[in-house]
Amino acid sequence: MNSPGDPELDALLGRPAALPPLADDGFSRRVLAALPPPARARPRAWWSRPAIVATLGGLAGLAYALAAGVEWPDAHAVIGEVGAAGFAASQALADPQNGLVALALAAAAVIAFLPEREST
Amino acid sequence: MTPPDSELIARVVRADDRAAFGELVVRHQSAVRQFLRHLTRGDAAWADDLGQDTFVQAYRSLARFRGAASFSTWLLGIAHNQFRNARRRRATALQWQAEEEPAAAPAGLRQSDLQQDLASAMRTLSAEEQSAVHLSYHAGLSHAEIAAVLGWPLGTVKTHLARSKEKLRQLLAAWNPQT
Repeated sequence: MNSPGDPELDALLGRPAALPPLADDGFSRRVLAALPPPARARPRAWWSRPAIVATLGGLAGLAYALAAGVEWPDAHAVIGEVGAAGFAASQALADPQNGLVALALAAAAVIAFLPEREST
Repeated sequence: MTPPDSELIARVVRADDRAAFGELVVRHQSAVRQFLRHLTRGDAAWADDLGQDTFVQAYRSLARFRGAASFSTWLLGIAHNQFRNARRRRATALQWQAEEEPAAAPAGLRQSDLQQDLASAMRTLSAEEQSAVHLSYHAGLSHAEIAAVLGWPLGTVKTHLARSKEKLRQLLAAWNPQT
């Protein structure tokens, strides 16, 4: 009794590989139709967190200016004062306590302006 | 010039290019569906449902495709997982072990009947052995690629293939004494 040798068996096993590939027959179209819908970027609402923070900050600054009786011609001087105050504040950051407060403020700003998570 | 798979994949990941994904489906649908038809024992409708699930899953996971294996190998691995999960869910009575042992050698077969005999002999192999043979001979995968698709160690693939061939050789010899 003879058994087929390796080349003969390999040839027999390999024969189906010569069959033509399966025709698509609409399969690809059905797959594409079954894909999840494209993720669209949600339009940012006017009341988004950064917008609220910026608006409140602007209103607070305006209210302060009005309360302090600042007039338009004084604005240039005010800007100079703000610059000087900023310089003084940067020097004050050498104090660890002030540095901690500045860090907390920076963290709050980062949280406020982090991009909001998109929901699908 | 047709763009390579890697370029189409990049377009899908970068810009959700559906046309590029459609091209990938067209290119690989035949291999995936043939593998699934083999796994489902010729149930074309079930195989195509699984094929669709395979490509949808591939689309969802495409950003995680690192290119360690070829895209087709990666797809066949997903197809294999889809089939295993579906089979578990279905809990059908698909008989995966030998359906029927060949009780007696069919007598008087001609040499030209070898192919038919081979198909019968294949059905006596275990599901694992059949998968290894299919991926090796019909899908043309290397041993390492088969190991990646089926999640087996390389040695297991080689063992299954060697054992399968030995079984087939013995059965064919028993059925075709003149061979």
